[in-house]
Amino acid sequence: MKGLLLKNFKNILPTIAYYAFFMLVFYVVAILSENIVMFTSVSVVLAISVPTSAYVMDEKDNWDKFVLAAGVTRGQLVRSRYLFAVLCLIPLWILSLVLIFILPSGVRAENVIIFLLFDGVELIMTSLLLPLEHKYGADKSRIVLLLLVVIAVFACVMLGTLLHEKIMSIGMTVWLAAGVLLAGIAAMCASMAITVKICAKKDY
Amino acid sequence: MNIIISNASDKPIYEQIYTQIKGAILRGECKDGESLPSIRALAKELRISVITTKRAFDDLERDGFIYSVQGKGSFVAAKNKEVLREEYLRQAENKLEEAIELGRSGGLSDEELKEVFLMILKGE
Amino acid sequence: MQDCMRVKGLRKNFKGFSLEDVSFRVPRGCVVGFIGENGAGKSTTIKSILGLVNADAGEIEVFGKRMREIGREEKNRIGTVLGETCLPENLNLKDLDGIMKYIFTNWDSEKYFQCADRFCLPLDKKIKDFSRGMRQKVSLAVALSHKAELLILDEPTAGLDPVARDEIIDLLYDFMQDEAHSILISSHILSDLEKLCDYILFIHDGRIIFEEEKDMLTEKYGVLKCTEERLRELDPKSVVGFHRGEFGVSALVKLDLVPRSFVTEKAGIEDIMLYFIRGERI
Repeated sequence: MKGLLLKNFKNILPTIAYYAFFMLVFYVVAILSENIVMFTSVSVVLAISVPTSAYVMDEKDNWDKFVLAAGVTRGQLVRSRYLFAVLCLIPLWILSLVLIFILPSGVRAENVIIFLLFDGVELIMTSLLLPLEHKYGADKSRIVLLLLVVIAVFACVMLGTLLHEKIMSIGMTVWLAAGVLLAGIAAMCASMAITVKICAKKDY
Repeated sequence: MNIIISNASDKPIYEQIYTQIKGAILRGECKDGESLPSIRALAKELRISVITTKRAFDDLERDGFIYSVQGKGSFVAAKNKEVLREEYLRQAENKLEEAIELGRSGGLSDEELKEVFLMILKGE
Repeated sequence: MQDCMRVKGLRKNFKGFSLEDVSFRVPRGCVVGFIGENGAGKSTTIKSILGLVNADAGEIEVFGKRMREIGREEKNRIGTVLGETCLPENLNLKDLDGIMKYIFTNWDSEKYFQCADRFCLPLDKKIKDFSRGMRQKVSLAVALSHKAELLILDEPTAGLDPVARDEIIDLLYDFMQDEAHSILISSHILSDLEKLCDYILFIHDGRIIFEEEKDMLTEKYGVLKCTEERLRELDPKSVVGFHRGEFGVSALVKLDLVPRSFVTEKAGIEDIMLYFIRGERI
């Protein structure tokens, strides 16, 4: 497991500066505009593209064949991918959380909602994407990925509008966002079980 | 000791090795108790398979030219004069038999062959 | 002789291709050359052994244990090279060492760097900048650096020039200096196998045609060149296959069934393979 993760991190290391720059820019924008949506939106993109690009590299390298031949089980391989995806999320979450507290306007419920909501969306999207990648390969899944991003952004914008027009009370929205996050966690668990099954049947 | 393998030869490779090592031993190029290269090292040097080499060594051991010690390798067997004599005798016999056969198939009588044999023996 | 690996009744159905009842063994201390055309089932067999392909049926035993039951540690006693390079291209050899430490329980860094040194592989260059031959050598260096006792190599010399091929064969000979070591190697380049292998395993159309000691093959088969009428005089059982030419026929024959009066030539592995696959039957 350690070797698998280490390989992923080493693989994405050359691109990390690029990601970091991207994040920094939007972090600053978020602070200036006092709206964490600027940062969380970028987080969604990163949360999906980093594990995906790691997967694409593995696919190109025939890495799965190699580690399976080396005695790593299919289950371990799948679990390492989920763990890696979560590990990519954590720094993003920490940064958003910090952002909520350091914004000059103080801690606002709106930002907490956005934080919870986007975290949930990230988890749901990851849990949709990983089984697809393992089943159909990264290339075919990319189209689905694009579609997913569009849907997610649309959903978030809709929710933002609802919130803005005060159709729902703040309290209710917090609960809704928390619900989305919980759904995300549940989706991850279910998704991992599905991917393990997909890989058990796969011929490499 | 030189061992030269020819892929073009009609003789199987194990036989080529057998003959050449035996020759070296009979000519005294390898001393009693001298260690021979290991089967696997020889296989690598000659670029042939291990089993082929092993077969040659097995035959050499069977015929008393070498002996092997488990884990240590193969060594040239102390020359047993009797064994050597027998070997030469056997080879000489074979050649003579061949000569006789050739003569008879050419219509020479046994008497004539005997004369030729004695003549060569006397060195004429 | 003890068997290092045994495969019994392996079956796998794909669309348009299937492995049928593949059985063979790899004796300990021996090199088994796995030959056959492209698509004959060599890679599928190897992948099934390693568990990359889910076989429909069959029993695979390695080191005296059933493959399905062996753990990671024991699987690490098998070194593999799987045709195309299966290593992270974005990494250099030093990075790779850091990762392999965690992948293989018996990883031997010293051996690995020795191999790299012997192959003149640069340590700081990314694998994607390596030539095909160099990549193949990296794969082999990895396979040789975790105290493997059995090497399973799928086309390790494919696409390499004669010099690089010779270096790899040399390395395999070195590996075989230990009597407990064994190799299963598939290759198109039969001259490589002709030297190194103790046994030849021949697969055609998903079925094993034979597994035979290499020396026995050349003793058993010969190439006969004669007229077609003369060929017909032979017992049909003695002719494996023949090619019709404009000026006569050439046939692969079983030497023990052919009378002495027929003069035959030595048959190489390539001849044997070609006549078995493409030769006409009597």
